[in-house]
Amino acid sequence: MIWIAPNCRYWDIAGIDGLQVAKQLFGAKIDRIAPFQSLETQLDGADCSVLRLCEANFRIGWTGEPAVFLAIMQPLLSHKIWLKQFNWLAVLRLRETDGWHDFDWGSIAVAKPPHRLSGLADHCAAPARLNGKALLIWRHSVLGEPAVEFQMATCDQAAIKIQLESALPLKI
Amino acid sequence: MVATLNKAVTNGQLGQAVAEYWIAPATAVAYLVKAGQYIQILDVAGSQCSDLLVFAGDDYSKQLDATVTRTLNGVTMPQAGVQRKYFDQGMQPLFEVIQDTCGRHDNFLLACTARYYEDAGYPGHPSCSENFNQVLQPYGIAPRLGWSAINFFYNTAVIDQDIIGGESWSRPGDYVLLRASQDLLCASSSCADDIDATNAWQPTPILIRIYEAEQQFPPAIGRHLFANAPPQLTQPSGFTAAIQQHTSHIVEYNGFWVPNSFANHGVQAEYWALRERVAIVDLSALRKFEVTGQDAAELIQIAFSRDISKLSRGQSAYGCLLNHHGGIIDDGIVFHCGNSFRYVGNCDTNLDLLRRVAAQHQLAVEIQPSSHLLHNLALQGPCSREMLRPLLDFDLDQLGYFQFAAGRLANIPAVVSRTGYTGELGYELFVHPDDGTALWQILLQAGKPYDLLPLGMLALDRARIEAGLLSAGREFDDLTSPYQAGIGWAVSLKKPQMIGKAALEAIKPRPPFVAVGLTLAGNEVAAAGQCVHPIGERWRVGKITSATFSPILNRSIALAQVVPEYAAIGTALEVGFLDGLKRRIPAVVGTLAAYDPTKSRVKS
Repeated sequence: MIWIAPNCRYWDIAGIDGLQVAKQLFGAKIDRIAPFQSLETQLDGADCSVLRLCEANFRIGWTGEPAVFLAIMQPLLSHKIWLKQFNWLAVLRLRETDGWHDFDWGSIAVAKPPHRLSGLADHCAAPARLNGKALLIWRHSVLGEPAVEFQMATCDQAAIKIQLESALPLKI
Repeated sequence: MVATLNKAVTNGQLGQAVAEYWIAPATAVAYLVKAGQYIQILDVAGSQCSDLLVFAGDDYSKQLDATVTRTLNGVTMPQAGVQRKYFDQGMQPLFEVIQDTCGRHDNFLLACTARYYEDAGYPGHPSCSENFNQVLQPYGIAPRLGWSAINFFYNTAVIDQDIIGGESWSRPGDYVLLRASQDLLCASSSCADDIDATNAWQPTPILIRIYEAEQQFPPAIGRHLFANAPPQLTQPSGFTAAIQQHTSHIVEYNGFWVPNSFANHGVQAEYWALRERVAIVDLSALRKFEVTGQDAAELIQIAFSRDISKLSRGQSAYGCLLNHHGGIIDDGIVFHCGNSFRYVGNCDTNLDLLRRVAAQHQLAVEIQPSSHLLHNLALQGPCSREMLRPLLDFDLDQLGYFQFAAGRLANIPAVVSRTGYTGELGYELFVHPDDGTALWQILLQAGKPYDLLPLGMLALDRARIEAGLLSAGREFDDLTSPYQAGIGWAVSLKKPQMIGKAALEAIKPRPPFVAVGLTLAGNEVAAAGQCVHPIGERWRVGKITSATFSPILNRSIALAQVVPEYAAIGTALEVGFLDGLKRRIPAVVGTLAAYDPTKSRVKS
C-alpha cells in the first residue's frame, strides 16, 4: 500500500453566501456540481480541488501558500460566511494509478444511503463507515493525477489506516 | 402471556409464515426473530394500536432508541424507502420498514403506563408497559414504569409544541412489515387503552407473523383511496428497473417510486442538462383516463375548466377539474383523440369523480383508467427535438405546442406529446410499461451526443418553480380557485355549463389571493408556508407556496399567493423567516414564471 501525502491544505467555507463566494472564487462552474461532487481548478495560479458539501458549504484543497489564500479570501469575508481550517480533520490518499481506479470501495465500506460507493465516479465523494468509523471517500485528481482520498477525524486516522490496509487487497 | 399460534387467521398474509402470534386485547407477547426475517404486525379489526419493543445483543443490552432514529433519519417516523431504518443507542440499525399500509404511528410517547391510568382515575388498569414487564421477565429484562416504544397505528402528530392524537387511522387488515437487521428479541402489545379514543374505546387483537429471510417483499407504502378501500401499494413504473441502475435515491411520489436525484450526477448537473441540453424524467405517476362514448365531449366540457370545443384531433389543453365552489380538484391535460378523449392528471379518484358527473348528467360515456397501460417519460430541453427527430417514424417538426401524435419510437409504439413541466421545449413519451426499459435505454443511447442526463424530482421541482408551474398540494388544493392559483387563463366561463362556473364568476373579479412570483434579496431560500408582509408591517398579505434558488437566474425565488392589493408587479414586500419577525427578507413581486415568462422556449 503506497500512501501519498496530500499536497494541499484544506480550507472550509460555509454560510448563507457560501455559493456566491464560491462563484466569485471559481466562477459559475462551481454551481454546476452537486453536493459531494468536486472540481479541479486553479486559483491565483495555484491548483486547488473544490468539494461541495451542501448547497452553501465548500471544502477547498489549496496547494499554494496559506498567506496567499488568506489574502484572496480577505475581501470576501464581509459576506455571510465563515472560513475555517479544521485541525481535527485528517487525510489519507492513494494514487489511482497504483491500481485503485476500478476498485469497488463499496466492498470494504458502507455508504450513507442514498450515496453509493460502488461505481463512485471521478470527482465524486460519499460519506461512509468502515467498521463503524466515519470517513469521506473522495475520488478526484490532484495535479492531474487521479487519486482516492479518505478524510476522517484525526483521532481515527491511525485506526482507519490500519483497517484500510487490512481490508484492501495487496495490489502493489 | 404465552404466545399462541392461530392458524385460522389468514387475513393479510403476505407469504408462508414461519411463526404466528395472536395477541389478545390488552396483552403482550415476546418473540425472537432472526436477522433478515420479516415481522408483520397486523391490526386485525382496525383502530388498534400495537406497541413494539426491540432488543439485540447477547444480553439484550441494545435497545431501540426513537430519538436516535428520528435524528439519523431526519424524519419523525421512518417509512419504506431511504429513511426506513430504526436504530439503537449505538446508532446501529435494528430493523427497517418494508411496507406500511397505515402511515400514522407514534414514536414520541411511552407505551401506555399504569401512571396514565392512575391519573385518569383507573388505578390497577392493565397497561402495555406492565404487560411488557411480564413478558420480558423470562429474558432477564428488568421492569420499567414506562417503556419507550414504537407505537404502531398510534395516531400521533406533533404540531408546534403540541402532541395531538386520537383514534388510530388503521383499518381492518392494515399492517406494517419490518425486516430485522440483526437477531432480535421483540415484544409486541395489543394496547390496553379502553378509556379514550386511542383504540376506539375497544381494544382488539393484533396478529404477528414472521416470514423467512429468503422471501422477497418489495418496499411499499399503502394508501387508502376511499374509507373502506384496500390500500394501494407504491408501485414501480415501467422505467424503475432501469432507473435503479443509476441511483439509490428513490422516493415515493403519488403512489410510485421515483428518483429524487442520480448518483454521480446530482441535482445541479441534472438541472443544467435540462436547461442547456436535454434530460429525461419519469412522470409515470400521472394518472390516465380514457373517456369514450357519444357524450364524451360534453362530459369533458362540464368537468374540465377549458373549452375543448375548439380542440381538434391531435390537440391537447391544460386545465383543471373543478368542484362546485370553484376549487381545483386536479390539474391535467385533456387530449383530443378523435372519437374519444384522454385525461392525464394526478389522482386515481378522478375515475370516480368523472363517472359520478356522467351519471348526474345522464351522459352516454364510458370512463376507463389507463394508467396501467401508459407510463411516460418526459424528454425535455432545448436539444430534445433534435435528439428525438431521428427516432420517430413521423415528422416531429409538424408537432406544435400542445399537439400529440401516435407512432413508433425506435419501433416502440408510443404517443408523443409536445408538453412538459419544466419551462423548456420538450416532449412527453407515453408507452406501455413493458416497453419502459427499452425506451429508457434507447433514449440514453440516443442522448449521448447531447450529454443527456436523467433528471430527478429535486431538479424537476427547481425547474418548475422557475417556470411558475403549479404543484398539487403546494399551489392549489380543492379550496383554491384557478384565479388564486394563477391559472385563471385556463378557465372558460363562456361555456354554457361547467362545474363551479357560478362560483368562479363570483371569484374572478376579486379572488381572495393572487399567485405571484417573488424575487428575494440575498441568497437565503424561503420555505412553503412562510408569511409575506408589507414592508415594516406585522400583518400578513400572503404566503409562500414554493421556493428555490434559481441557478440560471442566480437568485432566490419563490411562488406566493398574496391579496390582490399587493400583487402588482414591482410591489415591494417582505418574507418573514424564522418566527416571522426575527428576520425579514425583502422581496419584489414579479411574474409567476421567473424564468422565460413569455414561454418562448417551450414554444420554440
